[in-house]
Amino acid sequence: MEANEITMKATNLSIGYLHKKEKTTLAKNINFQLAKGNLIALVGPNGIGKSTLLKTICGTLKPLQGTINIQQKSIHTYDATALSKVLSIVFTESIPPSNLTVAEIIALGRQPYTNWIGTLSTADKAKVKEVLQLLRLESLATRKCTELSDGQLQKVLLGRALAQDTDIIVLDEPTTHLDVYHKAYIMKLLKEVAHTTQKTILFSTHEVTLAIQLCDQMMVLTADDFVIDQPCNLITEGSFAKLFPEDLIVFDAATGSFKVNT
Amino acid sequence: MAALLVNISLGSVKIPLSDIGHILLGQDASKKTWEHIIIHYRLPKAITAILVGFGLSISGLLMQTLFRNPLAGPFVLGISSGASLGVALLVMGSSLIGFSFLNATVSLAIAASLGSFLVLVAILIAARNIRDTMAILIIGLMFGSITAAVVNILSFFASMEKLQQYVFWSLGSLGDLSWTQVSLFALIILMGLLMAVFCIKGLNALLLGEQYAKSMGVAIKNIRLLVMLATSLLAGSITAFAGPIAFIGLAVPHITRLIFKSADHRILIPATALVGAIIVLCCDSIAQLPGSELTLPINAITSIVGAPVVIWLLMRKRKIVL
Repeated sequence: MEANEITMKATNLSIGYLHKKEKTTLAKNINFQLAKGNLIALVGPNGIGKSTLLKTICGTLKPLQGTINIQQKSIHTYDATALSKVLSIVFTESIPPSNLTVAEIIALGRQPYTNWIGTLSTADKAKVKEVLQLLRLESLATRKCTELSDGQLQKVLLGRALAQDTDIIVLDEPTTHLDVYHKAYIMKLLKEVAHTTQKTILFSTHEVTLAIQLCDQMMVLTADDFVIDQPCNLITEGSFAKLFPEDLIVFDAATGSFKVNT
Repeated sequence: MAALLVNISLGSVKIPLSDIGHILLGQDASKKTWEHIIIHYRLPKAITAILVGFGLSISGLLMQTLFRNPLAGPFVLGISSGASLGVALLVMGSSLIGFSFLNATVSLAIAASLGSFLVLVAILIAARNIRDTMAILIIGLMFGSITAAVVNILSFFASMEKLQQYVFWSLGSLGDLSWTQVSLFALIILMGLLMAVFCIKGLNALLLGEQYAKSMGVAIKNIRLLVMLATSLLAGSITAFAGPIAFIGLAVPHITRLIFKSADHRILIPATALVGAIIVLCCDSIAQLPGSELTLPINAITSIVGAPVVIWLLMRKRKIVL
């Protein structure tokens, strides 16, 4: 990878919580470089620290050790507005029900660029339109967010992040509430968006099988290890086999999926 | 405007509309006493009604967006109760410790604002560690009962005269304010409204929740503080000048959202203020009991109008939106 292609770099990162001076380390020795136009999935068992890692990457939590650089600058040198122009987030939690329309939610992504009262400039409006077209949401533009299906809402929230026009987009389990068709649909859309817009898109997921087929790179986080590589390499290295205890399910390298141990 | 005219024309003394027009335009009316009634009694009252409408409905809107809870409002969250406690302490407590205040109105306003601000701070501190917004509402109601209990204890020891003074205050009244008091009131309300206007961008971001707002560079702590200050100024001063007026803060933002079908605070802030002013003017007109010489307490009328709205909202709970 060339230096100007790298959007995010983590060096010797330790993640966890600092609670009343008591350190809880969830994972350490995390090193990675993320490049433009790549879709990266983060997988790992429940409670292993995926969300903590994402929160640390997003600057919400301080790393216990090590550094995160965005565009060769430490994440903690960015103020809130500057950070919101290089990194946008889609959270797992749904948004509160409101009268907001699809276009309005996407337009909220322009907040870092608008004036004190949030007036959209011509450029802002053009960006919103561009996002609506890219995600094929034009027909839903005036629909209220309470009238959308889960899959549509997820697309709209991705649209809001895209309108924020950042080099990096982080999504926390974007496919959780979706059926298998829409899980694949959203993930494929993420891949398409990463490639056409040349953004770095990082998301956490439990859909290992789908992620293997669609992602450029995958991060595998287990209790004592963190690896990042192309999915095919991870399969040959047997990284997915280490994800879960083998008493119940085993990873089948040929199909890239988990099989119940019988 | 129509609501304003109707409001001014109603009262225990009948004054023809044409004369009201003359008086408002600065011309002479057919009777000097009419002029006096309009200028010194009904006009300040109508302006008070408008200010109360602006302030309560806006503070309700601010609370609902800040807590992302459609049932939030200055009344439900105990902010009005806080103001009541402040006033009760001043009116009934001051006689207990044996000193009185020189400027009653200003000290009432300060006591009420302080009371409401303290309750709001307490709720926000509690809210910091609680994720469940329903729990925050219950805490607000608990603060309401605590203040009510303290007021009860105070009234048990207070003199008859002081108690009556407090009871009359608690029924709510838009009248009895001099022009000086109305000006002071208007100034405080304008300050609160101005703060609300500066929150518009942040409030719109908060519609997506605090996490999203933060990720878009919104300084949550500043917005929260500004909203808190605005609400306590608005709700506090209104409670001080006009008494604890119920339901307007909770009901008006919902009515406005239903009419304007929007969530954008650039539209909602002016629209809510307008609807609030119209509704309080109408409530006050009803309180005059057209055709009779009686005047009902304003608090009763707003509750009679507001409670059915809240019930109706709860009955169609699935559709409640911010």
